[in-house]
Amino acid sequence: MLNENENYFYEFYGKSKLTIDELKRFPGCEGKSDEELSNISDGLFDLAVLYQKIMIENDDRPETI
Amino acid sequence: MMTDLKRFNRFIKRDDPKSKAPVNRDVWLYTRVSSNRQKDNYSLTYQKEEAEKFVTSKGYTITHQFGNISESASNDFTRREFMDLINKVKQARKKPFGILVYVMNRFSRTGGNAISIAEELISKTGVHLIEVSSGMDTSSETGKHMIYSKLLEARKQNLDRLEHTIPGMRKFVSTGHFLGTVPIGYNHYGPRVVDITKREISQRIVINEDGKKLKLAWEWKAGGMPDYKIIEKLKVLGLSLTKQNLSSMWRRPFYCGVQTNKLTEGNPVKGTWEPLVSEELFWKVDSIINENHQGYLISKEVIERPLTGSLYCHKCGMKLAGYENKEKKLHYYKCQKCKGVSLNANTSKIMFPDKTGAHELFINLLESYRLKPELSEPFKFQVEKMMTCFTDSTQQEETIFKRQLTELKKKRETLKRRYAYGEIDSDLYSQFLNEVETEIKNLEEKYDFPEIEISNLSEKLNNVVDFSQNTSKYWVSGNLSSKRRLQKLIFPNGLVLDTQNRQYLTLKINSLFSLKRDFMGTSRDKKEKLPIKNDEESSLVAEGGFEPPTFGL
Repeated sequence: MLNENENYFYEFYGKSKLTIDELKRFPGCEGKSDEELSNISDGLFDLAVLYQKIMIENDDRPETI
Repeated sequence: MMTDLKRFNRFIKRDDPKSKAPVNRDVWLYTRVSSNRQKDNYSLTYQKEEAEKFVTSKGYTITHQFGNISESASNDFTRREFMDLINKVKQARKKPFGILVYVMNRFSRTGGNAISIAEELISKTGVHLIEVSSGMDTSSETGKHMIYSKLLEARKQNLDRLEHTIPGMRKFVSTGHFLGTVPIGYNHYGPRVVDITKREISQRIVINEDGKKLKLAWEWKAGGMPDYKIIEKLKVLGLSLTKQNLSSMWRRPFYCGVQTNKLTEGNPVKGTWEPLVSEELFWKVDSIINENHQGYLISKEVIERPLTGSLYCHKCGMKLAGYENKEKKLHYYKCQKCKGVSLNANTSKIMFPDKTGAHELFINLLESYRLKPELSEPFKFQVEKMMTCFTDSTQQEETIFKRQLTELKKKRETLKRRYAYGEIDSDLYSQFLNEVETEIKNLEEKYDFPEIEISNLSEKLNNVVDFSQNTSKYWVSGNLSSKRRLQKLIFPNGLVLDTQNRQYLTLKINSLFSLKRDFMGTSRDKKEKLPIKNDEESSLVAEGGFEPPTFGL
């Protein structure tokens, strides 16, 4: 069930993944190609899902971390 | 002197009159055919009729009948009716004289095994084998010899038949034809199918209505949908599948049109049937289920060794295995190929304080990395978007819930009013009130909305920054799944563990991460020592900053 739960996170938050246009607005992402931005979007989304998962596991209390 | 020889008559030994008890003439009949198709060709009826003629002519009586079904005789112990016959013969108080079979290959085709069963029957129970077609039985040594020869011959016939059949079958599957029962989602037409309405000259396997629904299931699976949800959605479409059905489907290359029958001898071939899914989709699902598979294999041992699967031997490059020394209750990572390549998983402060464990070394390594500073704001924005998405979704659900609840409460009021005015009797009132109350209760239990504290959002977002800068402490606090995901995310190709020098050699770093300034040092010398590139071309180089790292934030 563990990974099925993780899939659930991806499904639930899927719509909120950053688009290339959204990323272009950030100074650090200027001048990057669409391919690079797409990779960044994927990577940030993975990391954000993981963050949400860890926070939920720790009952949203970072002080316990 | 002439002797009267007749006087000696009384000295002649005669049979004991007791031994003239009637001979047991009871026999049990066993009939069988090899396959369901033969069941229709009157073979069973023929075997039975011939047996009946035989017993009439020989004065036997059939007292029990077994078989009368299709059972392959290539294995005795898997034949239900056959084993039932043997067990009942052994247990019977009144044993029959023998077991009647039309020809010996009906009894068995296992050769030596069949002889051993027959031998046991004869020697331990006194029950013989009788062959109808030849009239032979095992009650005499000659008969026994003949019957046993026939049992061996039956085995040989089977082997000969396989020798002739297997090359044909091999040829059949190697040309992309399918052998066996087609999986769910397909209809099988051909010359040998059991269902006569589907008999055709040549094989034709086509996708049926269920197959069209299963096609959607594959797409859902590739999109990351869990199996239980797919089962629910298929049920809505009118297709009921078990978890096992679905799990088996994901593992069948048949669905992408590939023949993997073992007769292909390790060379899968393209099937002649229409694939339900593309090969690309099949492999995508395969990668998902393999990931799941790892997830299901969680055991206590693995929980205590989260780096299992991510570490490689610095000598041979093989994955390191984890193990526990149960006596010392210590966990280790070791190479199963190279001698002496082993490292304690945890640092034992009391027993071996100098021997830093693999986990502590990994935490030190993680401490040296952070999300690239220029990605900090986009990351924060990403998490904020997720939180907003959650809030929006919850609010939408809450609105629907409140509307449903209001309607149900209105219904309840109307019901009470109609009862009060005498428009409905007490039976109807009780029945419907009960229904409405149950619905209200179910709805309230189903939706337990968390309080959405928008004011906390900015505070939560501050934690996001901490997470992106201090992944090590989140690795420590995460469960096994989170630990693995984090280590895979930052080091996608794993890590080489140099057990001699107690250090990690990184293969590749996620390009979103970079070394922290503190670890980069300021001197030119130190910079040159920096080991890791964080791009695609990263090479096998030692981790930087092996001096004791600090929580420098």
